[in-house]
Amino acid sequence: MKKTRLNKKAMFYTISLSLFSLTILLLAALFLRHAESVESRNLELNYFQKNYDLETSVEKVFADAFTSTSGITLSSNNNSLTITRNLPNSLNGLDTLISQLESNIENDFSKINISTEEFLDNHSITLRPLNINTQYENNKIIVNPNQNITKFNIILIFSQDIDSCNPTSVGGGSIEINFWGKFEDNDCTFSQSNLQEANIELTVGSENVLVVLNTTGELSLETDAQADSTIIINFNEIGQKTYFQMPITLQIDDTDFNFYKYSKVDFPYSSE
Amino acid sequence: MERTKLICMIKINNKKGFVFTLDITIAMLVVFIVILTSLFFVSRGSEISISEHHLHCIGSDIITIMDKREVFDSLDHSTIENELAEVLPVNYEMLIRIEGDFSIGNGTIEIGNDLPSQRILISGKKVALTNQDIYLKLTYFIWTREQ
Repeated sequence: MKKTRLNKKAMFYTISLSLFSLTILLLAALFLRHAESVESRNLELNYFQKNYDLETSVEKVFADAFTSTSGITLSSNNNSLTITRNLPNSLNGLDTLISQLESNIENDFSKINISTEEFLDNHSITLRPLNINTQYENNKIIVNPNQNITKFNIILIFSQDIDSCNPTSVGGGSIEINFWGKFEDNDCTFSQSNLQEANIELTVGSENVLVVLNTTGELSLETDAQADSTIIINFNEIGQKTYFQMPITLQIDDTDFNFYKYSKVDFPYSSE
Repeated sequence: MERTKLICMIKINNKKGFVFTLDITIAMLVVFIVILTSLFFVSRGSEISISEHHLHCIGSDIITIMDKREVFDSLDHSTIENELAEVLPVNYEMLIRIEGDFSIGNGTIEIGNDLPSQRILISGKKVALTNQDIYLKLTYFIWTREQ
């Protein structure tokens, strides 16, 4: 009887210690599997970091090309957007540089595809997150309609005398315009709120200057006369940081790693 | 007689117990060696991966800083080398290769230390535009300095 009891005890000890060892071995196997998974995640992290670095540097290159070659200065805060530009000025240099950069980058990095057609068509820049869209031509600035816009302050400093100034307007809207065209002591001013439409025609040194606010809320400034132009667009104050976006798309398509990314060129900072 | 039998049984049981305990001890020793070895390789492996990522971030940040400071615009070897020496942390070494459409060095400038033969090396690529609108392709290599 004593022998039987001792045998049962021994069997109990053997089984329980064996189970304990098995548990510890399984734990070791779990550690190894976890290590492999961490290793592959680190590889992915490094890969994504490389792509992110390349993408941000490509975006910066296009943003730098715009700020250095366009002759257009943009800045923004949480309630206004300021556009400064010496009109008229040709955007051909900008177009050439943008096309060259597209070609160079695609040649150097086969996994990147860049599309610049939309930008080259209308040279548009959008202020995010409000989506205030502005477009630029050689002698024109267009601000597309946006319900957040409350006021336009337009300042034109001419290099020739103002021959005529004819502002007309239609009330019943919600936009305010303050316009000031100046050459030395001669100026043309217009200031009115709650506008639905406005039309300011000037003749400067026999060249036409036209500022139009149409019924959709689109503002356009067109001038063949030399002018240092400043347009300050006031909008409803927002709590977020603003940034500019160009409609130049970057696609990174790496089939080896099954990775695809699509983005547009952002200016995360003011161009001043 | 019975007393002798009892003493004999006790002696046999003691031997059995001793062998059994020894058996279990050796088994536990083997198990713990396996655990400790796996833990060692796990921690060493993750250290290497984290330090690679850290190296990559440092390299990327240095290029970004130099680009923001418009250092590459000069395309001058000494200027870029001095700036690199200023921003690079003391524990690291770096090589930057600048390629573009410029006449210096037939469109290639290399600044920094020679590539090591037996150290972990991280590389990355970026692009930049100088203030003269020259497109640059920047390739950087970074590694830890030998102690």
